[in-house]
Amino acid sequence: MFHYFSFTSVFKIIEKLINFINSIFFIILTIGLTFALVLSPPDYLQGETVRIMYIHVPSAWIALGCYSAIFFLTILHYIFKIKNFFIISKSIAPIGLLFTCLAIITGSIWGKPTWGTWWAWDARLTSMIILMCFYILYIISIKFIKIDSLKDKISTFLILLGAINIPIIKYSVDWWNTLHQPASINITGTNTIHSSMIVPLALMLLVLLIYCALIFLMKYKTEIIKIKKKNLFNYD
Amino acid sequence: MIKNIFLTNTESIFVLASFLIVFVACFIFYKKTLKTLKKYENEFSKEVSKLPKTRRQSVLRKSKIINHILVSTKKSI
Repeated sequence: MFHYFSFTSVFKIIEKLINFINSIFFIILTIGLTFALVLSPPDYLQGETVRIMYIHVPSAWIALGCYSAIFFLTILHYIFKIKNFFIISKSIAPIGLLFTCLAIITGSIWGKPTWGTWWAWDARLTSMIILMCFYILYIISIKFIKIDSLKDKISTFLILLGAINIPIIKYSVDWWNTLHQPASINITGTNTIHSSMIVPLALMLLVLLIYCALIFLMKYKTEIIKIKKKNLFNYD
Repeated sequence: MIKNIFLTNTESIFVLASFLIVFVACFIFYKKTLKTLKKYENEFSKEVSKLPKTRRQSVLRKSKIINHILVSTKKSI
């Protein structure tokens, strides 16, 4: 089964996917921005500032999604010892860090007009800062530790330890009294957000997911080239 | 919203600032990733061309992926 994850079979489709994403990205971005900035209505309470939600919420979802993906890939890498899973995790981590920072910054900008402050040390915001720290530690560990076995152990430990923070981020708004509002979108329950706002939110999520896919493919391709360059003198 | 931007509504400044920060950060990150990819593609291509002819042919025969990398590098140049 795992031969489908081999570098050769994956590399063939990377080129095609990058070209495809480049061709459709600006069309979807234009549609997403039109919905987010022009067509969606202002909120009855927050007014125009509610539009920050269209980039803040997808950024936060992507940040959490990337960490969850790295967590599962790390477990798979630990069990099956397939290097490709580690390479994929390594390629996803910078994307996760970028979107964690963007979620924090856009959240802070949104906080000023709605809460009256740029920052508050409440549970959701603090747990997002902790997530950012784990991303930074993970990236530092895979970049600067040269011994492979030690790098594997430390990066796996960091990811497993940081995974405790994921449910804390998700449920922090329910467990503690925070400035941050509770979740408006529930996959299992009822949504407290109007349908006219769900469409631009979904579109902006799609835009950012496509962007993430593009960056991931480029980073993954770079990693494959690095490995092949290192092994160039071993084809005997 | 567009009308409010031109009226320099205070709320719109926050909205514009957050959208701008996200898109500028994403653009810089994209450019940086692309630059790194090109750098490694070119370095790899140079390494392969430095190999002696017989060895290069042997490497290209044995590894399909190296062929793919070289083809994609030539396309991007």
